[in-house]
Parts: sequence; C-alpha cells; structure tokens
Amino acid sequence: MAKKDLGSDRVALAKKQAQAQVRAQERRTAVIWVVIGVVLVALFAALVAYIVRQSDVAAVGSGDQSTPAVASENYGFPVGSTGVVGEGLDDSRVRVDIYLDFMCPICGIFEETQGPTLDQLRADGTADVYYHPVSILDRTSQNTEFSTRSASAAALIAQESPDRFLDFLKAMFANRPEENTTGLTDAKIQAIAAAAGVPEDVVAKIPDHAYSSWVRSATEQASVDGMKGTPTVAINGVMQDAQANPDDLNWSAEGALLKFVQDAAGK
Amino acid sequence: MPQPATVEGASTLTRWRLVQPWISLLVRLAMGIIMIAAAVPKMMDVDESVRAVRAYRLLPEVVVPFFGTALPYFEFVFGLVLIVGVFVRWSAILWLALMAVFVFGVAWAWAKGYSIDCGCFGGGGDIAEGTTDYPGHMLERAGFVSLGVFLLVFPRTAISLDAWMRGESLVAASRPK
Repeated sequence: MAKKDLGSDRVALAKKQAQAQVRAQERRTAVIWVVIGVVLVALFAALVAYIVRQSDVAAVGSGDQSTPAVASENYGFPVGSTGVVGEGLDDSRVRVDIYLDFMCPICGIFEETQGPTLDQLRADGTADVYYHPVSILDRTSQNTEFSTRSASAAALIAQESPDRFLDFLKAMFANRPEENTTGLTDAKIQAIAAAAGVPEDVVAKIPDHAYSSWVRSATEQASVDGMKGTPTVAINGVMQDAQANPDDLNWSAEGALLKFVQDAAGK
Repeated sequence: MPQPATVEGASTLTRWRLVQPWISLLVRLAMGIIMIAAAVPKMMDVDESVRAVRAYRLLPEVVVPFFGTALPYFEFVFGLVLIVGVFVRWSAILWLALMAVFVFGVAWAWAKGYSIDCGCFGGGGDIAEGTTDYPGHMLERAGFVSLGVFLLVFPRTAISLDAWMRGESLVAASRPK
C-alpha cells in the first residue's frame, strides 16, 4: 500500500511538473508574439511618420505650399547693393549666406557685431548677402513655435515688402526674446514690422503664418546643405566651421569677416 | 575560529540573493525610463531628431531621415521592454550594443571637432561652438554602460515578465526547484 502511494505521488509530481513546463512554454510563446506584435506596430508607426514627414518637407514647389518667389534655390533671401531683397544682385560678387534663427542668442550677437560689416560689404558691391531665417529652436519657445512664426513673418516681408526686410530683421534681433520663454506674440511681431515701415496690409497677414511649412522645408534643406546650427556663415557656398577647420572663417574674431570676404573677392 | 566566518559568509550570500533581484529591478527600471526619456522629445520634434542624426555626418543622406524618425520609436519600445522586464539578459546585451554605437558616434564627432550636442535626449544636433560638453557626456555614457553591465551579470529581476513566463514567483529571489 505504502509503496503504491509513493509511486502514485511520484507520478503525480512528474505530471504536475510536466504541466507547469507546458504552461511556461505557452506563456513564453504568448509573450514572444506580443513582443513581436508591439515591435511591428512601432515599425509601422515609424514608417507612417517617416512617409508623412517626407511628403511634408518635400511639398515645396508642389503647389500645396506658399513659396516666396523671391527666395533663392537654397531658400535664402538675396540682398544686393541696394538693400532690397532680390535687387541689385551680381553673381561676380562674393556670395555670403547667413543662417539665423530669431531666437538664437548668438545670432543676436552676430547681427549686432557683424551686421554693420555685412552692410558695408554689400553696399560697396563686394558681396551679396543671402539671409536664411530657419527654425531650429522651436523647442525653446514653450510650444509657441516662435522660431517658425518669426521666420514665416520674415519670408512674408521679404516677398511682399522687400525693401523693409533688412530693417525688420534688425528690429527683430533688437527685440530678441530669451530662449526658454514663450518668445514674442504675433501682435508684438506685427508691431515690430509696423515700426520697421512694413505696410499695413502686409503686417495684417503676419498671423496667417502662410510660410511656416516653407520655413520647415528651408530648415531641412539648410541642414542637408551642412548648416551647423545658427548662426552659420557660408562664403561662396562653403559652410564655415572654424572649430573643425582652422582655415575657415571665425567671425567672432575682430575684423575677421571683413578680411575673409575681401580676400575672397580678391581685394 | 574559522566557523563563524563561514557562517557569516553564507549569510551575506543569502542576503545578496534576496536583495539582488530588487537592485536589478531598480537598474532595469532606470534603464527603461532613460530610454523613454530619450524617445519622447525626439518624437515631439522629429525634424530636430533628423537634424541631430545628420549632424554626426556618419550616415548617408538617403537613410538619415528614416533613421532619425524611426530611432525614437525603437527607443520607446525598447524602454517598454525594459520596464516590463521581458528577455532581460538579451535586453542588457542590446543596451550595451546601443551604447557602443552611441559612444562611437560621440567619439567620432569629438575627434572630428564637430560642435555637436549629442541629441541623445532630443534637441541637439549642432550647437554653438565651444559649448559641447564631450567629457561630461562620456561620463554619463560610462554610467549608462555600468547599468547595462550590472543587468547583464544579474539579469534576474523582481516583478518581471521573465519570472511570470517561467512560472516563478514575482517577488521571490530564487528559482523554485
């Protein structure tokens, strides 16, 4: 009797263990499928996000997007000797591309310290300056997308009030909001534009943000072209990065910009 | 007398066996939270994520937009996997492999003299010259690597899907025999 009991106990135990093993295997299989499922869903979501983004960024010129006709192929606003966007340009001059974000503190310093030099080089016919307002600092304006809104306003003014573009740009930097604030409201941007002499009908269009998706594409293109944050200066199409390349322009050194551009012009 | 010493040694070991799954749990959760903290800001600003990837100048342009878009989704799912504690040992290996790739990227940027903010937790890409904190960043990476190594050595964690899968107790330290 005792012997038989022991035997059946052993059988029962073995059976129990086998069942536990089968259950563990089942759970394992289920978990593997769930993990695979979640990974596939994430992959699908990433693909959708990618496709949507590609079509958004590439929408320029497709007719879905407002494009300022005055902008150059690489999304800059060219200013020649007359100080008016799209006027007085000459391909034989040195080409200076400036990439800027209206919230970027160093762009403010650049405008303050180098703006007069650029104006001088432009006015005396040494260089044409291509201004690229981009939006790389939207994340620092507490979800108000100040960089995009301000760049969109700049695009609007470049297109519809080209003789006021430079004044607007300077006034915007004079009123530059600090990073990690809400930036300037549209009303404030409008007031700055009005004070810079932009006509009333153009000022009224600023809150439409008509060029915001163009600004997004411009920012993407600038990045593709090798823009290294803001401000970035390109001389004759070559992005300058003094830290990586000692021969490049280091604009923060006194008089460096003037000398570099004059050298490039062969003066 | 050698005997008390042995007893003490055994009790230390026992205590470690009891405590280790809970330490591993903390490590695992920290890693999961780090992954998700890295993923969310990138998902909120995909353009920024793409620019950050591009700024390393390591990948060809054709794959940069997809890589920059998909990376946060991958990080998010990996963070979830870590938090629920499924395939913990493999997760630790994947974590270390990822860190190897990221450290290589940052070392590359450093060596090339690029002014780069790693973009690890969103933001980033290129930044103003002279503000890149490469040593600080490498120190942070070293911390992340040690987390991964710990989990690789002690992958048994409390309250894990792994334990549930094996039919083990979620809170008990040792495997039932």
